[in-house]
Amino acid sequence: MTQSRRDRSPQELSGVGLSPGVSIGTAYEVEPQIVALYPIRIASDEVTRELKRLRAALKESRLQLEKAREKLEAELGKEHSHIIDAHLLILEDPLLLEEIEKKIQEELQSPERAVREAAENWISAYRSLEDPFFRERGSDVEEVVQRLIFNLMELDSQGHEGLPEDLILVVSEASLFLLVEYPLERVKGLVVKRGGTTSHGIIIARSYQIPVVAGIQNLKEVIRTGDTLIVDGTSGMVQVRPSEREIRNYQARVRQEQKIQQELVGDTSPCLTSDGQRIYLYANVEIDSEVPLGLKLGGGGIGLFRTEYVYMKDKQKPVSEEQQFKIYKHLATVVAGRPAHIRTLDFGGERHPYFSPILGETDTALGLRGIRLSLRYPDIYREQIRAILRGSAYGNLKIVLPMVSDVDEVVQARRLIQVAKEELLEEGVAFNEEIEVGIMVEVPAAVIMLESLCPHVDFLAVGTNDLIQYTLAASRTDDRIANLFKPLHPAVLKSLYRVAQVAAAEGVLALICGEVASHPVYARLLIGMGFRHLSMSPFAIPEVKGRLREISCLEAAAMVEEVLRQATLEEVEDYVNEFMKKQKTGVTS
Amino acid sequence: MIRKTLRIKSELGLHARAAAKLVKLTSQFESDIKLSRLNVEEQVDAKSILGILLMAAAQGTEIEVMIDGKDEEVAMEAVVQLVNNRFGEEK
Repeated sequence: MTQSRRDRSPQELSGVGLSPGVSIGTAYEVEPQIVALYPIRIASDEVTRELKRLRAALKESRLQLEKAREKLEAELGKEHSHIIDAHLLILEDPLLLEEIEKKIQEELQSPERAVREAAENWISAYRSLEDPFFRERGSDVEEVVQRLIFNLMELDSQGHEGLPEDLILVVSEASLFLLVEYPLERVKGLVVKRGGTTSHGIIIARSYQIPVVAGIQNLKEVIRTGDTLIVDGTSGMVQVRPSEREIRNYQARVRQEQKIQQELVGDTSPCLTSDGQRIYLYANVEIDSEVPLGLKLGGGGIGLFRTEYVYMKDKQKPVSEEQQFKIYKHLATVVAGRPAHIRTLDFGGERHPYFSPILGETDTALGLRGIRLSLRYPDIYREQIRAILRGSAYGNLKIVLPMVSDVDEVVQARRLIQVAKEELLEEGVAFNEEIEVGIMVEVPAAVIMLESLCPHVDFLAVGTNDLIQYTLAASRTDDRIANLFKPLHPAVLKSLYRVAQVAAAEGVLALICGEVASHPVYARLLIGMGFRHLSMSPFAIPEVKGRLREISCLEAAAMVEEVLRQATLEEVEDYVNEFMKKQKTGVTS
Repeated sequence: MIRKTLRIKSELGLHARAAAKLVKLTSQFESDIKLSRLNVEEQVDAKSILGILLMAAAQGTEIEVMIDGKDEEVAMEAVVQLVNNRFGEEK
């Protein structure tokens, strides 16, 4: 490990892009390596002085937290500030403090050591709790303690005054705190250790258009504060200590992208490939506030409206039909004539106090989620369906059923939708009787059974993230196997190709919803396979639009044919890299 | 010393936000305030958020409140009110 930290040669790290865009900046380790850098013991005549140092560090930590609370409340409202309240109380906890002081006075431990040891007892007590909700509080204690130790070591004493203008934060987890503690206008990128999450930090980074690459396990071994980093949140790559040439290349790319962004943000003309094929671009949105931007950037409409955040609006119980109706009605009104695909409830990793106990703690990815949960709790489902149906009176809403693995699930769901329609008819409430119902194709069983599913659906929405995860049996959130989550794996490509083929043969529209659509090489492959409807994060749309215009469908199809002949991931990657290299030189020469 | 048994009714149990409110309240009193799960010997200090959260009191948990000191009566009344008010959270 020391070897690799000493090795200062350029390196390239591959992760998962969670917020698109490219930026260059200076690395800043939010949690620097502090192990054993502080003294363990103190002399007996140093006790008074060390206790004074402890109190100064406590005061400093309190001030920082209070400042963070102010900023958080100003930027995000009061909803989140109770987290900081809890941190403040942990910091001032009389029992913790008593233990720390005792260790300093009686055992002559240094304050740093005393804080660490006293906290460790609490943290391990929390770890042994059965209730996951309370067990997680151990990480709050850890965060508070780290802050206190940093302040003791005066690592932070200069505040953020000396921070570079172009900051790339290197963190193990993208917490909400991160973005309130650093000046956001200076944060140019985020490199995160833990793999794909929908944490608050990532959502905020997206709305501020800060590129994020996550899932880099060995970041602490390779990156050090002060290193120059290039963060490419579109492709999921991080260049560490890039060479002069690489920097120039990227600077050129950043300029070009800015130009493309500027040119294309206001560009509402259709996206045609170089051989004149129309490609429809849609936006994936997480929260309703992203809808206007999504529509502005992606002319096609909303390709995926996730409803987990709708449910997150009420942490206690499922949101009511009325509350949901308001949101869907607003969505329908805003999209006007364009389609908005509403995916019914599909909790994956998100924690919701009402649903989490139902979903179970283990194997959420393979458990009771998506349509399985909805069919098991038809009362909750009924409210969501009624709300969407009522919303459909105001615009072109479509229903997407997530996690479908069996024809029978579609039949049952459609029956429930039919019942809801009849109720509304009886009540004299308006809705779109022709509302389209489609499925997410994200479970390999659905890919295999696609011919049988097609007659029961109005469209297909391919959820690439989950399809990759399930096809390769590789979790996106387990750091240890993040290297297996490979969109270019031949098994994934063949599955996608099959979807395109069957959809065309059955005459059903297939829409790609997933991060891969925003990847330049992947967009080309998808077009080559025959997909014409792509949905992605709003910010990725202008760039992809610009790139698609340079692609010819015929060439892309030839590329796909070649790629599908490869048997291993490595062969595919080699072929694709070679192809892109040729493409680049072909364009510049 | 006075004691009283209370049931945690809030849906999230005695979680971080509720615990923070409880600590802010108990810290205003001089009396010694302890909590325990009903029929469990281990007690926690109600002025320590770390102690309270470690009880992991989910919705429906019955807890015993033990207060000892000069202002024990007022303190008990205030604690009972906060707990029975579901920590002022639900509308």
